[in-house]
Amino acid sequence: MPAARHKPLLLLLALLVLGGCSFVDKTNTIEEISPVVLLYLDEGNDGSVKLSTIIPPLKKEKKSVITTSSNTLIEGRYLRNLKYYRETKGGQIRMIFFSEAMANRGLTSLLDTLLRDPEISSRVFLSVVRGDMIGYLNRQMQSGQEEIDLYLYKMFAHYEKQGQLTTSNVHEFLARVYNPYADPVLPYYAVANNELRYSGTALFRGDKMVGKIPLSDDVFFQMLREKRGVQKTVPLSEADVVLGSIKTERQIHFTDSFRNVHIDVMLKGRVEEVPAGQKTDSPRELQEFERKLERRIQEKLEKIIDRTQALRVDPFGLGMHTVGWKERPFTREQWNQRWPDMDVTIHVSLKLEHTGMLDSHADRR
Amino acid sequence: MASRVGSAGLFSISAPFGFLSLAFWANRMQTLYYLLYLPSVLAEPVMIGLILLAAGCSHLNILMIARCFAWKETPGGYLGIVRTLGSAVSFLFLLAGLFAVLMKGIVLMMGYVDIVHHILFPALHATLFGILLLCACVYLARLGMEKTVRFAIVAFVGTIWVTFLYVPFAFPPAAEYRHLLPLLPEHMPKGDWQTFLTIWAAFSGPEYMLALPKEAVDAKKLKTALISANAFTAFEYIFFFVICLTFYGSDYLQRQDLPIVDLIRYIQLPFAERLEMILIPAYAISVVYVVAILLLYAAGAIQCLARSRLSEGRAPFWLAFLMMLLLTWMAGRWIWPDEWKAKEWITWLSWLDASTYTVLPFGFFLLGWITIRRKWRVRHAGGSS
Repeated sequence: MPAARHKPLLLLLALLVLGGCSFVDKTNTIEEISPVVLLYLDEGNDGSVKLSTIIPPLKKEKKSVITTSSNTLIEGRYLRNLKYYRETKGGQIRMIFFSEAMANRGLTSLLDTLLRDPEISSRVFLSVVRGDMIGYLNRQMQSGQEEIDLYLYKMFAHYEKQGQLTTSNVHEFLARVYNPYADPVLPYYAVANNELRYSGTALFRGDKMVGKIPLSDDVFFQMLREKRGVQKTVPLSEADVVLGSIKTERQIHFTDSFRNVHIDVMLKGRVEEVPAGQKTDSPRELQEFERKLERRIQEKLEKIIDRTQALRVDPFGLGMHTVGWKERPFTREQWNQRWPDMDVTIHVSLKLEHTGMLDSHADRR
Repeated sequence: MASRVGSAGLFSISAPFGFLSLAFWANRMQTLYYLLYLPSVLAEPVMIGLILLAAGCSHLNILMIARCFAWKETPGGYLGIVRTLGSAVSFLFLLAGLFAVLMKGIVLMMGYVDIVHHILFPALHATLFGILLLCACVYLARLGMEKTVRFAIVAFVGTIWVTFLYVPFAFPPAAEYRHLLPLLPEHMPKGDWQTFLTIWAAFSGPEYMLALPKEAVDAKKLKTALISANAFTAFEYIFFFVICLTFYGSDYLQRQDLPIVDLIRYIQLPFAERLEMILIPAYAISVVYVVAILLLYAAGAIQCLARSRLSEGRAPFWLAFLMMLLLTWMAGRWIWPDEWKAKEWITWLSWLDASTYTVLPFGFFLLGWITIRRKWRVRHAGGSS
């Protein structure tokens, strides 16, 4: 086709593209927007939602925490824009912290609202925080840690990669909320002494927080939660022993009648610290030492199972193991009723490696 | 469609289409839009069996389509239809066909435009984008049927690489294989015929080849191409369904509008985020390809309908473009802004695709068989007298 014949088509395209500006009903001029990285949601005194964030993120200006109080999340965003000379945008949200009160109230409607915005990724980290989060953020910024939002994001990303602590994002949380045979969990942080510290795992029934696993039990909770994992440090304070680089493997078997569930936890790793005078010279002594530690770990795991049964939550997704090739023996409601009364048998097997090192040190002592 | 092999018209074809052109054409027609939302319609693991069942039924249809081209006694294309049905019935048939291709083209295009508008460019006017996309379709379709069909290779290669981005979702920790259970149906769920209708519609597309002139295809090549395309389509549906199911779980998957797109939004590479910015535009190649083919089919139908009034030049083509332009504008103004209306149209498209894929291959096969039988009887009667 000769070039002249292209001209009308090119003209038409040019007109449409150039004229496109007049059809645009909202703009994203970079100087006019301010992407938000962190959100903190708390319950107001009158039941409203207090929405806080750091502004301006990613810009070299003086930062501050801005808080709005409203009945809905979107209204809060609208009110925030009335307080600030740029339009805040959600495309860069990386973390959402919920206060304990907010988590007790239920998170699904809040997360659904957030996910309606296609700019917001379902990879956004979620966590529950206890204490004065706004005060913590303000103090961090005043003490020169201006990029506290990015610092926290990197910390979360590190925890996720490491896989030893509880981390969760919007997708993982909602996938568990809608799963009939599992309940969601979120990391539980606490603000104390001007520090934000990982303090365990928040347990949810549906989308409402109903309890938590304290930090002292969290490492054992992780052994039950993941099919396979690695725990770099397993402190057994009652036995004055610290195990290290422990590879964990969990297996679940139900009896045919689904009245009993057997959980086998296999651990393999090293002893990092032992009490003075601990004898592991002979294989028999080492075996006795291992059995003793197994009993300690088993007690911890049983305590965790008891707690989850008492709270009527299944954070381990045990119910999913009841589903077979041919049938689902329980509905969501039936499983929720059955799980708290189910007999759980836990069996721990521990295999200690590199015990020669342990012996040589023991000899010197 | 008129058969004028070697001539310089819009529908002229210099040589029969190759295996790749035919296979990729069929595959892109089948998977274009259904691939995006089929997983959330299926949701239950037992539906894997239903996909295989639909693929098996589709295989039978493909054998019938290939058979129609293999019979030497029956004329193919438009002439074949007229000779078999008579001019009055052909007129109605072409009118219905024009409506079908226009509707399919508009719903596919606006469905895609809606995704772009919702996820990539919420600030852009959806109708304007639809019209721009239609211009791209015209740009391709104006090259004629032969070049447009051969563009299938570009359309396939331009979009198939996207599948590799989903491979990490097939493995833990993203995939929870227990979501695939139970694989056998516990009971007959209500309303499953509607799901089967959607799956069946998701295999439609090869029936459009029935309008090709016989000279444009080699029957044997067509058969192997369509069988390969059908098998690959079934693989694609199962692959994406399994990935979505193991990632979301059945209950959560049902709540997703476009699970395939949402899945890609979950990928976070150290050097790139928001991969949907690349994936969704890549799909435009397939959309432009399929709509361009449908535009040519509409032009062909107009040409055949108004044979005495319109010359065989470009007038039917531009008329088809104007009709599509007007319909795009109307759909963008009155249908797509209302989510429920848009969903209704998508459901109607499923009905339309399921109907055309059920009726056309069987109907053409039956007509061909009747024609051959008649000829055989005439020949037999002549021989005996």
